[in-house]
This record gives sequence, structure tokens and C-alpha cells, in this order.
Amino acid sequence: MSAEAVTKRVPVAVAPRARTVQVGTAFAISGVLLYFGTLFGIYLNTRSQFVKSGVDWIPGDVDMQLTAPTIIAWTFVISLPVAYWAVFSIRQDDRRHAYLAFGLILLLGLMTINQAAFNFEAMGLIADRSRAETLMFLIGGSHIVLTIVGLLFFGFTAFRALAGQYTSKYRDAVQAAAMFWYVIVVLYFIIWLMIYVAK
Amino acid sequence: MTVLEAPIETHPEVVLMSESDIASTPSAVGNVIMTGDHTVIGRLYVIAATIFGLFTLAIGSLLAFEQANLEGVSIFSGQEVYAAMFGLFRFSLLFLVVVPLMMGIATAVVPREVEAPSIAFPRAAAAALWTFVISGGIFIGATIYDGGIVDGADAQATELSILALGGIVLALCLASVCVLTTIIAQRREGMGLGDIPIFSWSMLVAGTMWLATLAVLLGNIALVWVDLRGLGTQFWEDGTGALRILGWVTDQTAIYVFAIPVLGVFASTALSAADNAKPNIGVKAGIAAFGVLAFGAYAQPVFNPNVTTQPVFVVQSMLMILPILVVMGGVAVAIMGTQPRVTVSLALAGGAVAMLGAGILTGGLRVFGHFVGGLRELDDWNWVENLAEPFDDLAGTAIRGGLFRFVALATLIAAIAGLYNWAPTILGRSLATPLGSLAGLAIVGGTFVAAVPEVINGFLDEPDILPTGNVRDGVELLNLISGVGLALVGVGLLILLLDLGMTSRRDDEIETTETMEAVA
Repeated sequence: MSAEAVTKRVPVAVAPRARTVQVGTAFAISGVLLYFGTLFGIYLNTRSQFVKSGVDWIPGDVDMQLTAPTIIAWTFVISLPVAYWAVFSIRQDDRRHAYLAFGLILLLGLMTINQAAFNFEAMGLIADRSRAETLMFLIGGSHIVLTIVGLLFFGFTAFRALAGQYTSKYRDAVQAAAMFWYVIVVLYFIIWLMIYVAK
Repeated sequence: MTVLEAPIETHPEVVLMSESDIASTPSAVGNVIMTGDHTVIGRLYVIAATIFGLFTLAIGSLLAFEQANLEGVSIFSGQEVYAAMFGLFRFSLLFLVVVPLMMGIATAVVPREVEAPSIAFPRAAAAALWTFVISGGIFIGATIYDGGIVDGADAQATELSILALGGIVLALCLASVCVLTTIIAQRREGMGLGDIPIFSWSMLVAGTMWLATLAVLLGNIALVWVDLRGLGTQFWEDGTGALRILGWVTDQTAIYVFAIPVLGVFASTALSAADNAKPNIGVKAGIAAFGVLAFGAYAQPVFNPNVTTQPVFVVQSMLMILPILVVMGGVAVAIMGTQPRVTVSLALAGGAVAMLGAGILTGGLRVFGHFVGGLRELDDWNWVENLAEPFDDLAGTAIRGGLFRFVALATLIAAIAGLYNWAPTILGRSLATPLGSLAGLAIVGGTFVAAVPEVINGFLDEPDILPTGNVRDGVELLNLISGVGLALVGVGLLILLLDLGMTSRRDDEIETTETMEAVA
């Protein structure tokens, strides 16, 4: 059987509806934002009660430094154009640069997780010592989980891109993964300001 | 040679299977477990939720019978076990029965209604189903094994209960995303948002509000879980444990978001009974308004103790009845001049709306005292003081249980109405009408009998949780009647399960034509 005959037996592929993955990701992002909004609300509410009553919000045993969280913030800043680079490269059908961008995002994401774990260790955070620590542990931990989900999303997209799936015409999932990543970065900045800068 | 772009998806019918592939084809059970077919996923939701429902209603009846003698704990082994079962009943009825049942119907029906090829992200929808089933089983198992979402039980079992509850909520969030994406991104080209069939419209509103509410609940669950992992020293206080922090979701106005599809099912069945009359803007606007007004995730008394007396909450609770009237008015206008056929599904859907209305009026009664108080502050209306007196201090009483039963069971009734209406789509066959009538009678009647005594008990000062002996006469008898009502709802579910079983054994042709008509 000739190659031409084989290709003729394959029906024309049905193009997936445009933006399906982006719409799904947008809904997921709205859920994520509400989840973190709840935690931020509880954090600020509880902190204001402590401040009003004149009790120290952060216990003296917690060594809260700004260095490590700021380095994490910078790592996230660097990852922003890299995420866009992946989308741009796919849009240009430039697969080599797309793979490079995917790889860099995965590397930068792993770096932030490593730094966050180091930061928790350096702060001497104990989850059950005070309300502040419980909430910091919960918010920081939730963000690490979200970063892992974002990396899995990017990793999955990269895997499918390696299989030749995404093109300049169909780049829905890559854009969705980048959109999800932008939200992860924005959420980290809120955490950085709310917990580490404002203390 | 012709150069083709890499195919994105391969049509299953053109894939040539090798002998080794055929040998490794999964069995029938394997097919069900691995399925991405939205109709099968919908069916599995319905079956799982009905089975969970039987268990939950049995627990609910036992709790009510326990309260029929307030001198001590006689059915359960102690107050802690009673409290754990109380939490199990509330959360199971909502998240293991009512919401999944409606989600199952939506998963099966919505893609057909919006003419989508399938549900969006079918693998994610299947993952949501199995996460729900497994987490649901663990939640019940861990609660029975001295866990639950209250304090004083086995710490590890309690952790597991909360983790499982998180799994259930996460699964429902994922399922909501799949349904919402189907409606927004997968509907037929040229079908505008205004053209979406009425049930899909209600699911669009419901899915959005469910996602908004469940994401907040997930944040609360994460907090209590981390707190409990840290030996429960910070937020995990007093004997009611996590129920104190998570209880807002079973209370007004948050609980109303789970009843949004009631209006969609009612409008859809009424319009199809009237020769597929076209819905008008009033119906859709009413459903959307109900959804917006129902949002109550902000009303968490643990973090904002006075929230239930604040004007926004009080006015919101008082206004909830208006969208229902708008929807009913819109349906009445749409079917005017036609001769609607009275079907089992229409009767059930009407019953569901009546029960939802009763629940919302109950919610109005709870805040009526504060509403009148607000009026008195606006003007010197002292004459209303006597009017408001019986409604003061109703917030923490059994009236909350009455409201919960009215709204949750109204949603259950609507789901069953939907099941009878779209049975050809979901099951491939119609359900038996006589059995449906019997089940409907039992469930609607049972709901009324289960909820009304709780409302009266609220006026007789019975507390919502952990009642003591200091209540007025008649409370115990009313609790007994309430338990009988829940048992009756359970009997109705059993009849439904029987009908489902008998229908699946029928060897008649699959009603594809009728299926499409029902969808249309």
C-alpha cells in the first residue's frame, strides 16, 4: 500500500473549537482566585483583630526576612516574558524556541518551589504555633501547590508540542498555560506584598 | 505524496486495531471506568448520588428519631457521634446527593442541548466523577469510623473526613468547569447566549455560582485541615469543630445557589409540556437574578459574627422570592394559549418550585425581625415592634434545619423531575410513569413532612445542633414526624432506584428519535 493511499484513508481532522482550553482555564482561574481571595480575606481579617487588640501578629520566634521572598518574586518576574515567549514562538511556528521557552519555564518554576521551601525553613515556621503561622503556612503552601499545577500544565503542553500538536493555527492550550502562569505570578505578588512586605 | 498537517484527534471509527490491541481491549467494566462518554458519566453520577442518597436519608431519619426523645442519646452512642452524623447528613445531602445528581443530568443533557460534540474535557469530567465517588465513599467511611467534621472524634479519621470533603468539593468544581466550558465554548456555531435552551442557561448560571461558592468553601476546608494537622490549636474551637467554619454553605443564602437549576428544570419541563413553547427573556432574567442574589459565600459568621443582621444580607434574603415569581410569570406568559400536558416531570418540577419557595419564605422569616428592626431605624415605626417579636432570635434554632431541608430536597425533587423528563437522553429509554408518580408523591410529601416540623420547632426554641432537654412541649413529637418525612423521601428514592433498575433491564429499542425530541 503506497503512502498516498494510506494518507487518503485518514479523514480530515476535525479542528477543535477555538479557545475551548482557554475558556476552561479561565473558569478554573476564577475558582483559583476565589480560593486565594478567601484565604487572603481570612488572613487580613484575623490580622486586623490581632492588631486591634494590641497583640503581636507575627510571633517573635518567626525570623521573617524579605530577601528570599524577593528573590522568588524576581524569579517569577523573569518567568513572565518566558511564558509569553513560548506563546510567541508557537504563533510563529518556531518550535525550537518554543521548546526552549517551555524548558526555561519548567526550570524557573522549580527554582521558585525550591526557594519557597528554603524560605519556610529559614523562617522557622511551625504550622500550629499561632494563627499567623497557620495562615502563612496555608497560603504559602497553597501557592506552591498552584505552582506545581502550573508546571504540570506547562509540562503537559510541552509534551504535546513535542508530539507536534500545536501550530500557529492551533495554539489554544499554550496560551491557556501561559494565562494560568500569569495568574500564579500575580498571586505571588499579592502574597509578597501582604505577608512579607506589610508583615 | 499529499502532505497533511498533523491530525489533532483521530476519529475512533477509522483506527485499525491490531490483534494485540483487540486482546488488550478493556472489559465492559473497564469501559465504564475508562469512559469519556458524557452520557455514561451522567448516568454514573445519577446512580452514585441515588445510592449515597439512600444512606444519607437513613442517617437523617435516625437523627430526627434521636431527637424524638431529648432526655438522652439513645440511638447513637453519644453526643459526639450524634454531632458527627449531623454534619454527615447536612454535607452528604448537599454534596453527595443533590449537587451530583444535578451535575449528572447536566453532564448528559447540556452537550445535546447546545449541540456540542461532547462535554468539554471528557477525561476531566470522568476524573471529576471518580474523584467524587471515591472521596464520597471515604467521607462516609471515615465519619462512621469515629471521624466526621466535628471535634472530639478520632483525629486521624477526622483529618481523613475533611480531606475527603475537600476531594468532593474539588471534583464538583472540576465538573462545573466542564459543563460551563461546554456551554460557552462548545455550543453550535451561530447559537448566541440568548438562544441557549433554558436548562443549559440555568446550568450556566448555576455552574458559575457553584464554582464561586465551592472555591470559597475549598479555602475554608483547606484552613480547617491545616489547622487540624497542627493539632487544632488555632481555629478548631469548641465542640462543633469544622461545622462552625464550614456551616455557612448549608445555610442561607449560600444554600440557594445549589437550587438554581430547580428553576431551569421547571421552566424547561413546563415549556416542553406546552408544545415546546419558546422561553422569553423574563424566564432567563429571573434565573440569572436568582443566581446573583443567591451568592452567600461572604456570609461566614465565624469571621464576621454580625453578618446575618447586616442590611445587605437581610435585604438579599427578603428579595430572594422575587426572581422565582419572575420565572413563574415568564413561564405563564410563554405557555399562555397552549394546552400543557401534565406529566410526571412537570408535576415534580412544580412541587420542587413550591418547596423552594417555602424554603425561601422560611429564610425570610428568619431575618424578618432584623428587617423590621431596620425599618424602625429608618422611621419611627414602633407599631411594627410587636409584629417582629416572634421572629427575634430565630437564627440559631431548628428553623435553619427546616430551611435546609426545604431547599436541598427541592433540588433533589427537581433533579428527579429532570431525570424523568430527559430519561430518553440520559438512559436511552423512558422511565415508568406509574413508578415515577409514586416516587414523586413520596418525595414531595416527604419533603413537606420533613421540613415543616423543623420550622415550627424553630419557633419552639429548639436549637439547630445538639438539642438539650430545655425545649417547649411538642418538639419531640414534631421531630418524630420530621423523621418519618425523611424516611418517606428515602422510600421515594428507593422507588426511583427500582425504576432505574427495571428500565435498564427492559430490552426495548433505544429511543434515539425520542431522545432528540426530548432534547429539542
